[in-house]
Amino acid sequence: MTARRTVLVLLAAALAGIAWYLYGGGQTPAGQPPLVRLTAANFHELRLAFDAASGAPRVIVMLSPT
Amino acid sequence: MQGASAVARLLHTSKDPNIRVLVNWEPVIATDLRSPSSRVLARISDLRARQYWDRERLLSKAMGEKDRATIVWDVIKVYDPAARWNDRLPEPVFSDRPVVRVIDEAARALSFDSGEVTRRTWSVATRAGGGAGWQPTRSLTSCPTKLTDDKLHVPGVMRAGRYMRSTHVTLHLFDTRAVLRSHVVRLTGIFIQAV
Repeated sequence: MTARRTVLVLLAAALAGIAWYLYGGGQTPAGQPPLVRLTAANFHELRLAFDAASGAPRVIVMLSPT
Repeated sequence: MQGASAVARLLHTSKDPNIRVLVNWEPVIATDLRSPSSRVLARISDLRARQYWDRERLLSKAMGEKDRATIVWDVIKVYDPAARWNDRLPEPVFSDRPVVRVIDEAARALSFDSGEVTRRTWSVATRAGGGAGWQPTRSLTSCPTKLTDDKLHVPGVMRAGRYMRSTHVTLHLFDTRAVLRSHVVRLTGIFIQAV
């Protein structure tokens, strides 16, 4: 019983670790707005941010995180 | 990661407080399983930056991604202050890759010399449909461009306040600061002379 419980705890911890790795995001540097996770539902926020800065030069950079 | 560091250097060099840099992180290679870590995000710490995690590569698709071969990444695009994102993204005044190699050109496109962006103004000769021959245009601003080999295609140019559509112009580029004749105006370090 104890062994089984230990396995379950380890399994839960492993799943939590995987979930954190996959979905736990990093934090942006102090002073920057939080990281925005784009989805189809909020993609317009990117456009709004782009247009909100019109009148100033804008740069879009597309990078891979690794 | 070199691209992110290059962008950080660009921002460090820039004196323009109004520049906005939208950093779009997206999964491209097999190891891109998760959103960028704090350490990765810290590479671009400038307060003029906004950072996004685009797991579905929505922006890349908006820019034309159709399959893996056409993923838009490791790219830097510079947009004119007047550009607005209406139904579709506007044409950038500069776009190239990989970021680490083209960062100096991107900085020149932003024209940091005076601390402000100098609107790109140049004069060219255009040849619209109908074979009317080359006609000198007035000053052009915010002209969307696409550089292919040694030809600069101008899909639409501003002339007398109106856009001429489907106009293609073949131009020679001169990498010099010498001001040439009236049809050649400085363009952030390069010059364009009509053919």
